[in-house]
Amino acid sequence: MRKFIILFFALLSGVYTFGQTREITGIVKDEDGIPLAGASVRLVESTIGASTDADGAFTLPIPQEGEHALVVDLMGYKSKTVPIGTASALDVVLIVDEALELDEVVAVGYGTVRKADLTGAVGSVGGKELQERGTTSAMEALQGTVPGVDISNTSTRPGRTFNIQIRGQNSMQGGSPLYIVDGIATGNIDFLNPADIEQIDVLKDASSTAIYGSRGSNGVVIVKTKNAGRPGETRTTVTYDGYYGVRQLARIPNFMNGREWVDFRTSAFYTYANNRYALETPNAILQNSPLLESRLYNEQYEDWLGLGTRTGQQQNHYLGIAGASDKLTYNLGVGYQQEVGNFLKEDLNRYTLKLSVEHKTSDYFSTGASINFVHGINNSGSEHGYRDILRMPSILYAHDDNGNLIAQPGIAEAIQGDGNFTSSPNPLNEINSGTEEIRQYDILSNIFAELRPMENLSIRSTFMPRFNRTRTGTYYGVVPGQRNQDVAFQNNVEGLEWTWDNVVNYNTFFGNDHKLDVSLIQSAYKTRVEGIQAGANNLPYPSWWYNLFSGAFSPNQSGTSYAETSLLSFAARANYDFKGRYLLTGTVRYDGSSKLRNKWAAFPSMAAAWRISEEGFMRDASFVNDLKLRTSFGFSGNNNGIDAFGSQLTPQTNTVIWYDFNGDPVRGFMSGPPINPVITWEKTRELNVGVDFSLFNHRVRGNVEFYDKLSDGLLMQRILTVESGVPWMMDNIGSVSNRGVEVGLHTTNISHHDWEWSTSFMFSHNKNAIRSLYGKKEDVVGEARFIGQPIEVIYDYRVTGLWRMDQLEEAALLGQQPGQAMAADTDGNGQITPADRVILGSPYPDWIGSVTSNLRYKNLDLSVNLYTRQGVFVADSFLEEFGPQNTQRGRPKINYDYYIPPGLPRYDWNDWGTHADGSPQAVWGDSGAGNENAKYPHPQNVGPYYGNNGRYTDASFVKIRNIVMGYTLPNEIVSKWKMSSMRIYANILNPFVFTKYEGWDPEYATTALSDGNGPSNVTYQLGVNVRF
Amino acid sequence: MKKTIYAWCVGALALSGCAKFLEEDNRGGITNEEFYRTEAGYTSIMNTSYATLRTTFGVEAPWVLLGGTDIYQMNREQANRALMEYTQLFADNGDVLTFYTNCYQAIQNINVAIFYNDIAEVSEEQRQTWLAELRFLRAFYHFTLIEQFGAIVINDEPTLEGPRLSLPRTSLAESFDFVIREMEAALPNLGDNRARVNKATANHYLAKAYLTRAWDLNQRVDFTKAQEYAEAAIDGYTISIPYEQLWSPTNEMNDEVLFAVQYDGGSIGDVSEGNNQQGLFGPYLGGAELNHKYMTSALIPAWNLHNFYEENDARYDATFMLTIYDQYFDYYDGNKDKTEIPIRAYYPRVWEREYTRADSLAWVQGKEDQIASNFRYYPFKYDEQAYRAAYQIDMSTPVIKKFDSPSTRQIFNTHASVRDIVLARKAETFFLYAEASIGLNDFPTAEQFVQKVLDRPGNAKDGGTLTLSESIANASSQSEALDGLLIESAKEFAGEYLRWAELRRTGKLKELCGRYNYDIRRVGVDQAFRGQDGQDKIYRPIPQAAIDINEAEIPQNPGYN
Repeated sequence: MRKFIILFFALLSGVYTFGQTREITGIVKDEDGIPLAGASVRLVESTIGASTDADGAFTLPIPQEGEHALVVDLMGYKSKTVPIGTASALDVVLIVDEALELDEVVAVGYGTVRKADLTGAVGSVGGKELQERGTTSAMEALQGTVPGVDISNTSTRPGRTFNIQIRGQNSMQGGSPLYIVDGIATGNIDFLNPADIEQIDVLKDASSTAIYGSRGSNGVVIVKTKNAGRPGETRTTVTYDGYYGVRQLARIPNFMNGREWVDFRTSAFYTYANNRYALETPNAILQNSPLLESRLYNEQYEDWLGLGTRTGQQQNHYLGIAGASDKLTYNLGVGYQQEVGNFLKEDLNRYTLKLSVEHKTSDYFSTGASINFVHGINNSGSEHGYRDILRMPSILYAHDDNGNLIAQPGIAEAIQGDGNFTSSPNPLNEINSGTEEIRQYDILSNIFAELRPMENLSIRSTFMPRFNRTRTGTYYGVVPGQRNQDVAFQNNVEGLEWTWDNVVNYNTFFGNDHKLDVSLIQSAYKTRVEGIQAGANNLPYPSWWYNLFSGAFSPNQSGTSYAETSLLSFAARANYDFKGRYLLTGTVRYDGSSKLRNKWAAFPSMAAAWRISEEGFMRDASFVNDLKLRTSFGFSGNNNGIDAFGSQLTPQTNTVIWYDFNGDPVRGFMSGPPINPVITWEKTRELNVGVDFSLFNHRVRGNVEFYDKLSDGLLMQRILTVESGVPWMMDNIGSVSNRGVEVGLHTTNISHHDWEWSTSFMFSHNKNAIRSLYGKKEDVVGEARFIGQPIEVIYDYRVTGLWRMDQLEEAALLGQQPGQAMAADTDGNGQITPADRVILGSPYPDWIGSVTSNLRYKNLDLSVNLYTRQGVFVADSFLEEFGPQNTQRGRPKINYDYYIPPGLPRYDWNDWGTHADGSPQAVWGDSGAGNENAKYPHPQNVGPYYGNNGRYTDASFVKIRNIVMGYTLPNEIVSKWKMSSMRIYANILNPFVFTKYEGWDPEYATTALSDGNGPSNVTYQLGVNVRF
Repeated sequence: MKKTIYAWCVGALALSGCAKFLEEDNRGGITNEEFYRTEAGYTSIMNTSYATLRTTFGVEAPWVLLGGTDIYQMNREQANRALMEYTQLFADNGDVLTFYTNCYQAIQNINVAIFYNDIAEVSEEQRQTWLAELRFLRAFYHFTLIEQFGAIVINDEPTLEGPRLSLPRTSLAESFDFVIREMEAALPNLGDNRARVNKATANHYLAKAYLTRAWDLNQRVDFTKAQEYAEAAIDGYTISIPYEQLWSPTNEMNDEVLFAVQYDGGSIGDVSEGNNQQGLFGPYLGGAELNHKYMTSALIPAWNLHNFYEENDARYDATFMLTIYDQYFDYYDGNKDKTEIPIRAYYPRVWEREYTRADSLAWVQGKEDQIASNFRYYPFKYDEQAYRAAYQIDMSTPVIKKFDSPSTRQIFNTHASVRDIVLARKAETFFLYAEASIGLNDFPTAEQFVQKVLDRPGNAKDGGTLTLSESIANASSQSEALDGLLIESAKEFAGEYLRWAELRRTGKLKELCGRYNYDIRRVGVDQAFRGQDGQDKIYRPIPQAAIDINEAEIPQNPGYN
């Protein structure tokens, strides 16, 4: 109707203005020759215009005289101006505007849909955008690109993993999203080379995830790797993407220097008794070591961190070849990634090989297959390197005068003192002694056949086996003072999983305005995992993990395992489209699982969308290019938290327990955990309302989503009474709500021939709240779980200050001592009891956001990406080891504000005496007024009402994640080199972090030090993208 | 819907069908019913029911069993100050929770074993013996809990399917009834295998349970029952193994042992799965570089413990390692000539006066070549302040050697010991008898039974007999008699896991801590023991975590509210 009216007016005005006209007709098509409906065709500098019909055809009256040109516009395509000349018929080919991506195809599980026709909440990121981040990990590249997806780095190690949460935590079990790589469910996507990824789609709302039923409620991440194109494009392209970069340590926390640390150590030796603090053993501070005194006098300290680290590097090379004939297409790829960590012995090498072919045998039949082989080798060096290298105080030296490593730098002999300062071994010996190497083989493959008996009916059967073998080998040699026997260990896990999907798709048009698309899906999924591990010690020679049985076999580290699961599913989805304005989607999935006693569960969902911009009344709102309102409601499930065989009552056969009767060894298994026969999947119901818009000639595009999720029947480790003798059992006994808002906005601020500037904003906020626990709306204090509060909270005493010496008597009434922390009496009963603990914060961010700015001037481009997580409050691992939480007085600390009692002995660094041999002698002074208004209590006397306050900290941050500057070589040059394009760029990763956090890096604050919670870094990369 | 599904099944998976596809085949595991039916399966859970003893007594330091008594003082790290000194002992104490949890987890394993006892396909006699052992072990754990916590939660059924959320605390009387009833029921079916729970074990613990009940509930008749069971446990045995030999690493499971947590080099899964008993008592002896014993130094034998020993008492030399040779374990190495190898440390003691330079010169004569460059000697001092002044310094006082495990000397690990942990031996049964006699105000009999232990061959260096430090027979009151008994038991059982419960049940805990414990004296004994509610902390606190989770109302022990 609208087209008709426009046409009518156009005709009228044309007739009126020029009097004499002729008619021009034409067809607008895309690059593949598919006709484009709804394109606007307009005569330059006139009001004459028309829209194309369903066949892409248009007719336009034009004046007989003069030179004229047509402007053809269609959302998602580049605008095109075509001179008419004398032609009376014109074919116009529109090229997809990649910047707009509005017409991109989005994966929705077992099929794709045009983004414009989407009814659910799906976030989509293109491969180019991912690759521009210059990361070695796909997850890191995805960080901050999709609203509602909270990804955080868990370590600084090469080959690290990431935490991901889509729309908040649904489950007490944590749980990660379902990853689907080319149709195959994988546990993560860490093994992929980002350069091999064509697109990542994240399904967020229940209407989208319901198609994955019992596995969907944590969201679904669908990864499409570069695969064969559509047959018919007879061309061959070769691409090469590569970069090289160096990683340097950055933002080292403010550790105490030698003198500051000796002061701290002195304080930690103050003991409280008889109503006063005293330093009972002053000699223990420096063990009467003139050597240490000299070092302190000269302030010559060891840089332990420097000794344990180095400049790292990164590189990634990916060569792709894609080709096609009219029936056959293929894609070949080979990739190599390397990352050398900053810590000694850490590195990652990964090799990727892929092959994908598709053959369209006839109009009725196609077949194809792909295989993706990935081999990764990841070394993480010493398990405790990050921790141990900094357990050595800087006043101890690593090397002796001859440059040899001192086995135990803190023993009496090494410091020439009266006694041991510490007997800890030299961490460099430990670091040099061995490594943990993980060798991983991943094969993802699929083979499919598709039958199209009718034009609009397809039947596709895909079989997708996936194989993974992961071998972990560890070897650590003899280290004086640490390990008298070397130890070696090997663990092998081999998994074969297969998925067999059968999909019938039927689509039809009826009437003029109705379109229906129905898919019926049947899927079977089976996993089988076998493991074997063995350990040994005291090997005759260092044979790593390759000759384990030459040493003494270690039964406890050895064992085998087996697990299998199966999932059988039936699903159906129907999309109905009325006039392109009203869209409806209905989905249902029925899943049957081997792990449950009640095996079957159904997951239905509905979604509707209204493209308001297509309505007649929006005709005058010409600034609106597209406006769509979406709403969806549905259910999806979470199958985390139930293990294979979890419904069987079994002994703990995985762990052999030893005993003996008067020297006769015997073995056995402990009784197993209790089971819950009625256990079933967690279910999440979700309501989603979203708006997609594109305004001002597509210069402002974006979407806003509101969602309300309620996850019910949550699997929880129901903590059982201590007296029942078992710690917990799984039960469906909780509910949690997640409500939030997500905004994605892309604006084109300047669009000029030479200049182009666009910005993307992403914002998401999620409120996580427990609704019920153990089937009741009651707090469970023992587990720090509270109704109306997030799943993860920090619950402890609120420290209001410290007791001072002048409050000694007042403190004693509460059983406390000066220097101890004073807690708030939150219930006001005059006593401090465990009931006074309160919620101090939650590790979940209040909001996350990102801003990306892309600026282009001629061939130069500059892009900056900023990412932030705000309102994060954590129990920090760094502070646990190097901060106030650690009471160890022999290990280094960061500078922190600790309690010092007044008037106690303390070295006077301004006044030095002289030993008999002339060397400087540290002289005792006095702590003066002390530091009684400190933030943190006495290092060794925190008091009974302090809890773990020493490790709580805000870990909010703003990070500039990367700054890329690129230059695209002019066509004249690259064409000489027979290239179609070439771009070189420089990229800086993580150049700036703005945070109050005191440790290594706020992003992985809660990661254990042994898992790679180490120094932050900045990476400088140089790279090139070439296309032939 | 179902029909549709079946139709799909048939269509899509005609080969096997849905039902079979979704069946689990647990190839590496086995169900309880299948496993415990077999002899191998049931033996397995019997073994782990015993192995729980290792978890309970061999992993963590025995903080609740020994901490805060008269004969151990705080270590240099002041670890577990709460348990050592009481002032800062609260319901959130982690070590109390660990012990409490370990006991109940052991009970769960035993309850599961008892639950499946019916289906075990073994001879009826074997089944009954096993059942009796399990019932004893369950009662033993409950008794251990009573010793620490008073009235307890009785758990006599397994947690298998479905949660148990409300487990009330019974009265003290009911708690004792359960323990005594179960032990008495088990007794007739127990066997004589000394490495397992046997009749003598049960008699000993029945004596102890009756004795504890007698004090706690003030039931005079229980003292008599305690004597009866003690007599049955002693079973005519005479203390006959010299003390050094009693604790020889090569003389485990000797005739005196009634119940021991079993360890053996061949029965540990990993070198660090031994126990920690050898390294608990005494100062740190340095790191691995010196190849001495790896001390955790949890508990430092107090000056008073040393002081209790008299000059003629050979047990002093048998209890403490007074000479440390080149490497600590060289002491046990018959191939090493003790008159040639270096001496690293020496802990001399002369009686009635301080050790002098003259003493040291006399000692060193003939040993000049053995004195190592880092040699130290640490003479005993009769001034407590002077003696303990150096307690934070490595090697400064002698360590207890009774529990040494020389067979694992090459493993530098705090949990390397493969020595059995002796939980009960006949000497203690004599002491139980004596204690019951005191309860009955029969002081001469009490002294007579203590004397039977003192008369151990070789106990007196001069070849004569040892006498009690403080006479029981001549005591003017029950309290005084107990003082005499407790000094003797301190010496006889130094380092063994008895002291706290012994002081508590005799009502002497606070008194003796106040008299002998340096750390507590420093705080002031009343202040140390007094809780916020004004009452004394005489039991351990029921862990707050357990109270929080239990749906039943669990009253807290006095002193901890």
